Amino acid sequence: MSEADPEITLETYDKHQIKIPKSIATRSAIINMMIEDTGDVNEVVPLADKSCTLNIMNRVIEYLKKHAEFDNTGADDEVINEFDKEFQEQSDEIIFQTILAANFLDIKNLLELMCKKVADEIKKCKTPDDIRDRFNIRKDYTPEEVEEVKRAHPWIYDKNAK
Amino acid sequence: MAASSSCSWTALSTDIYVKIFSQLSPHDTPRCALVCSYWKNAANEDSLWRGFCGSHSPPFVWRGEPERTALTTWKNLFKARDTCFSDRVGKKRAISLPLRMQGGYVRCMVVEEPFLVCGSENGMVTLFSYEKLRASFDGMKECKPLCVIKEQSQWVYSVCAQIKEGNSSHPSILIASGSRDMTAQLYEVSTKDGVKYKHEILNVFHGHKDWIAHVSWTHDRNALISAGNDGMLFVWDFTKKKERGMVQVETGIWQKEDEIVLSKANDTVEIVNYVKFERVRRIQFGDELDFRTYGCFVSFVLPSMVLAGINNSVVAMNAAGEELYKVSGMETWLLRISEDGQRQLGHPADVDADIGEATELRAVRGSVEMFDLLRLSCRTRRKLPPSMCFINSRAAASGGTRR
Repeated sequence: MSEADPEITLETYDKHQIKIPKSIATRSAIINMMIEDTGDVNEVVPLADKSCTLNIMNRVIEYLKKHAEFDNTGADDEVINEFDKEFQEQSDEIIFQTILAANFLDIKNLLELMCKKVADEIKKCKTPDDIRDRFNIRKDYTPEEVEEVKRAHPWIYDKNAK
Repeated sequence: MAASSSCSWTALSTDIYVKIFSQLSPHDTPRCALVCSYWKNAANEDSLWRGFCGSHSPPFVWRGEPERTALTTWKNLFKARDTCFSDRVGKKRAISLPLRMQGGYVRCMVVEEPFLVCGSENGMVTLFSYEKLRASFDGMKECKPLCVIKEQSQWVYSVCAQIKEGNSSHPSILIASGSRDMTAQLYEVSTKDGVKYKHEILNVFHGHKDWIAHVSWTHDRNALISAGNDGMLFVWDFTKKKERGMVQVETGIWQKEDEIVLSKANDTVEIVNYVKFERVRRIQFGDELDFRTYGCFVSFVLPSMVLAGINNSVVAMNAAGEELYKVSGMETWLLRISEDGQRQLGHPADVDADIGEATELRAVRGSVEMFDLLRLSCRTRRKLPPSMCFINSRAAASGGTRR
């Protein structure tokens, strides 16, 4: 890192402090804004969202650091994809929290990456029941409502029925 | 990813679900909508469908279903495209656009065999070989223009063309364009070898005080009519200007013999005799045909004329102003039925004005698309030669806003 890259101290939601280089921290649009707001790199940046725990922030920072490295070295897409793929392979809980954190911190490519993971999981499910089982969602429809939703998408439903 | 019970997936915001669903195919989303009501709301988000309209769907093809489809949301637009398209060809198939107009919407086009002439918003008038264009649409290939005329400084609203008699192997073509820069221009495009085409400006007509909405030849094809947003209708001979009168004109004009159809802003259509300069007929519409929106286009298909209104309907009427049939649910930007068909087919005038099956050409943002056999009505069916074109243009393929 260059000399003009001071360390920023982040305070996670569960009150742990993490020091990271400014160049990494500013990859989050929100942290960047907060640093610019105070104008003081020595001030502790509090992360007020529930998702930003030490555990999750460590993962987010790992992602940011790795991608900063990729950008600096001009790594192959293959290498990046491999890292991203591995990064996606986590428990639901971590993926869920990472999505919230990425959304809160406004880190677009991380959010997209994790959303893609969820979408892939949805694609694996053949029926709405599968999806509910997979994501542990309670069905809040009456049979009539199910029919109504089906009716709202006839152009797609007929095709899927084939 | 192991199944878990510790996180509540329904706690994610709708925005995030839109991001997740946008990674799916549009045909996966109904499955998601059936999961729970919260997912359904996210799956119905219009921003999601906006993305699908841009990336997944085939271009818009409208089929003459009589029912009305309100294309007010991206989802409905997607639905309309999806149904129409898969219905038409049996399976989904995207047609890419082999034509690029180097930016700018195509505002108008006209087929004058063997050419097709387009005018676009960047002020260009582009000449294509009609046959090559058709072949390129079949083969999904790029089609290069024969000639690009960049003389107008602003949007070209209207073009008309006629083949010059004489040289049969490589005919010259006369093109007139009317533009937002308040001039109408007349060009002759000629070639010596059939490969290189050159254009020459024959005349620039000044006189309009506002945009020119439409240009058209007179019936004998020896003079040019232009209609402008300044409310003026001019008839020019090819060398000098002749002003014949003034009418309030809003958008399209089409003509039949010495009569011309004007569509006007206040929900009316007028037929005006441009030789005697008197009103022949005036037809007033209610709100249903929204002529107040900019792009009503009117066309003659002898012995009836066909009218089209934005967002709403296409109406075929006979010359007495009686409605022959109407098709709703069409967002029309430009409707043109070229030639009268009967003369070309050698039929007497006994055909009950029917568009029948025609080829559709469609101008969308920056490109031209062509589709076969768009059926508007099947009262009496007959095949029309390729030159009988149904041209339907929308401002933007995916419903984008017009600048």
